[in-house]
Amino acid sequence: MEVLELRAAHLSNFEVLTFLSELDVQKLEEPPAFGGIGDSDKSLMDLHTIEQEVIKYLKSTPCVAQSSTQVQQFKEALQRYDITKAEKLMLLNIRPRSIAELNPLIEDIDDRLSQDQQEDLVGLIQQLLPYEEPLLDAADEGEATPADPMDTENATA
Amino acid sequence: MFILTLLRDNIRTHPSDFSKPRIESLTDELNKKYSNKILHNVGLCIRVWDILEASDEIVHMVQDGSSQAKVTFRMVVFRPFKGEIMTGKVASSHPTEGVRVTMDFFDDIIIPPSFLQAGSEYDEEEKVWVWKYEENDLYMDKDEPIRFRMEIEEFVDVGPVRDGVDEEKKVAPYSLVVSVAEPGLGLLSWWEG
Repeated sequence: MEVLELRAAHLSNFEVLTFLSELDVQKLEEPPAFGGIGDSDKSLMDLHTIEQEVIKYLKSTPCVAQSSTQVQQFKEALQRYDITKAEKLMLLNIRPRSIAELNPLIEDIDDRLSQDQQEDLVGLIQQLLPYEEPLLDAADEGEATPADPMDTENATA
Repeated sequence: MFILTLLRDNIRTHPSDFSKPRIESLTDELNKKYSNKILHNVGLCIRVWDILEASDEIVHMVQDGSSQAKVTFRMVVFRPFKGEIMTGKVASSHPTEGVRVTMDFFDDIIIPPSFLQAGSEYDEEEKVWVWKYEENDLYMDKDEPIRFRMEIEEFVDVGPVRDGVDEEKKVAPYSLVVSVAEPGLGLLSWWEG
């Protein structure tokens, strides 16, 4: 086995979730031609486990509410800011809700972005990547239902 | 946190799978071999993204009749970069090791005491780390969502081993040391609003 290129590309959480979810749907639509051949199924358990765990994890993050249109618009809007590719990726994955949360994502943020720009950026994120956090408060268990992130997908200006 | 790694490997297909379309059987064999496993100095393999090239098959007539091909492919790999910010959940607290974090599909993440927020102490009664900030006691309870920065990654060559299995092996083949020692990091509830 040879590693030809370690980082051939970076994937956003949105891209990984989309990729794994599409494969999931395909499996349901095309049942195996020869019905589960015992040995094959067992050795693909690792694949099944890791896929389900990654999907579960990603669904609890902001990428679950993202669409390719949103991501495209977001990338275009970021062009006017002094932000690196890696930082843009983190903004997309983490989706900071405030200047305090924005702070760790951009190196030397106060040297590169003015207070106004930082506020603009947070506002931009709110506007272009709408997301409602699932309610995790144990006290509300059984009462409040988590806000459905998909409902907000079409609510962008 | 996810990358595409370009790899090349020799893949054997057993005659029982010869009726499968070629790309599908090669993909299955690659996934069987790599999914949910740590590749030393590469990261945690999730699954095959695509196959770019596969050489002509060589058939091993005198063994089991399986065919072998050299395959060039891209794999989805979990490999955060240094300095990357990620989220997870608090898994457990330990007085000397610090706070262990889980990301559902990956668990070998530790925040050593030196990388907790300044003013953090281990509470012997509650058995939990606490950030004492301006007269507030902020407990780092289990299952709380937490945001951290990747600082140090460690690969240990333990031979072929599955991530998550073989609990007796104390050494994790791939582990991350992370930090929450700056404004904006730590429990998400600390920075709300």
